[in-house]
Amino acid sequence: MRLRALALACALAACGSSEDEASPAAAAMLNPPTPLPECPDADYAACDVREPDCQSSIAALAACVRDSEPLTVPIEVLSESDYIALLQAEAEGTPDAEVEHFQRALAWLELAPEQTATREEEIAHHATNVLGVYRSKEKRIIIVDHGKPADTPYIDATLLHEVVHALQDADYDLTTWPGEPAQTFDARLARNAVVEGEADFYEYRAVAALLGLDVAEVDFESALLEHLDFVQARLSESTAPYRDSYATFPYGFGALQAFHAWQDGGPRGTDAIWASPPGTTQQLMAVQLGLNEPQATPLELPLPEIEGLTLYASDVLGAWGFHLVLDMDGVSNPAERSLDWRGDRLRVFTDTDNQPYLLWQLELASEDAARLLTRTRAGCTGRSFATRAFVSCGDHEVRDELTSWADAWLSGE
Amino acid sequence: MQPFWSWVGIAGGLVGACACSSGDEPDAGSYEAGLAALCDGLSEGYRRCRVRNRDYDYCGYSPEGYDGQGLAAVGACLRTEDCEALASDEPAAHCFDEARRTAPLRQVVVDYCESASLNYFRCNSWWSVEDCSEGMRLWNDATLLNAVGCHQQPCEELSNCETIVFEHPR
Repeated sequence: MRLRALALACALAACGSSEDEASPAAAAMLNPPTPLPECPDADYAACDVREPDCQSSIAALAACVRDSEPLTVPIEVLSESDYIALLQAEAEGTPDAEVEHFQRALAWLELAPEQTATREEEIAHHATNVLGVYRSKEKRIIIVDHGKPADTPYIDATLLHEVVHALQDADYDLTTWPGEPAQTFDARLARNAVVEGEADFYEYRAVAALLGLDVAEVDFESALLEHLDFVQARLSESTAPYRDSYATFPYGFGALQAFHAWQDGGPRGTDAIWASPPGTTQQLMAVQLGLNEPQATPLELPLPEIEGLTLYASDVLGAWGFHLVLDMDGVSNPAERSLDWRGDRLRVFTDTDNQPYLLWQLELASEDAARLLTRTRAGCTGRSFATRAFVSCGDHEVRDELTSWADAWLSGE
Repeated sequence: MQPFWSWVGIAGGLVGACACSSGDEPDAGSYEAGLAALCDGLSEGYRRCRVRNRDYDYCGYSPEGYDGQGLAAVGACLRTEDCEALASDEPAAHCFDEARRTAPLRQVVVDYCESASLNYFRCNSWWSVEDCSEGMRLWNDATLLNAVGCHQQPCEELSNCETIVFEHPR
């Protein structure tokens, strides 16, 4: 899936439209596109993604850069309103998920607003921000027309990104890869980074040629690190960083991961990532930033069993979730400091009056990291001891039994 | 996103009166000659269309840093510009766009754009060489050469550096 504004691009109608072709004399002065060395015969001219010939040439380029067998996949361009209508029709009759208490829990940690967005709001948010999507169940691509020209390198690269997903699907079956479903926020982000990261990296590689650049001169490392900074900055400004992490983390860290794998092993160098995907965001971040010790599996945290409290939801926020909280708290270098994560478990309970309570437990690599969670937070208590920390929250008062249990866990009782 | 200085010249140029004089003829191709051609074209357009509530001898454009030949192309367009456009709040906007698209492409523009596109890419900003060459064609050689000097800056400095160059052109 390709999201808007993850790469700044020419967005004005005055640039790149097929109605403004350069004069023959001007065109002669511009150097012809420098082909990617791995795809010397591909077509690098900007083209209209609504045209079948363009779709074929972009699909061929995608297969070439990824060293895959060419694939024909249905491609449809929908207006934003038509895409919204499609999503609404598909959602009709599907009951709304029960997330109210989980939303409240995230709000205590400033990872989400208190009010759950309506289905219509979520659909509109998605449609507004998505440039293209590959639908693995239907094996088709939708490009969302946001009113910009359809024949720019930017939109051509978007189509290429989605074709890469189709190629991934052909190799690995995206509906089932890698076998075990990812059950947590942390695991889903780590896994999505493989899928979106590879597509993002090949998009960057191809777009360099589409922009008229000689790829031999392009500094991909710098561009992808800037891309990472950009997505992190977006999250710092977000009022829903938990939700928006799905639209940022996999692209920022994933593209770096794919680039480094490509540097090591060429186009099929990413096969190694597919065969052994990162299990946690900490593992991915530690490897890509070259910091700390990568943790492939999280430590498990024990479940409190307290009379009167029923487990409502459970999740693992991971190092990335820890980073989000630290960033919200104004901690300096949150990404680096979050790498001390060794395991966490966020659990939401309800009492007999259906009031929600949160207990977020963390195992960390240092006492300094654990102490970062003891800041005063409205409606919550945060404590640490040695390398353990917890945050417990409640609407009216922190549940004494829950906090007492967490205190005992802190000290290893 | 396309840098704003591809159009800042127009905004900057709307302030101040035309400095055209009837003294010695400026060198053909110079900024002065180009500006004179622009102003003459605008004046002729106003008269042809009998645009109301306009001083036909008041130009109002002096886009600093623009190439003389480009400005002359704007003037040629204004002579035959649509009357509705001439009567609008931005009478020369369409002609500036036309000039950008049709003015001769100079090697200095190509050199600037190849450098800009490469270094903006390094900074996670996508601007094709072709789009740049169309958007930047009206800037003069000295300003573009000055801007190239910004391209080796770190990403957080690059944009600021170019802003200064294009807001205070040579």
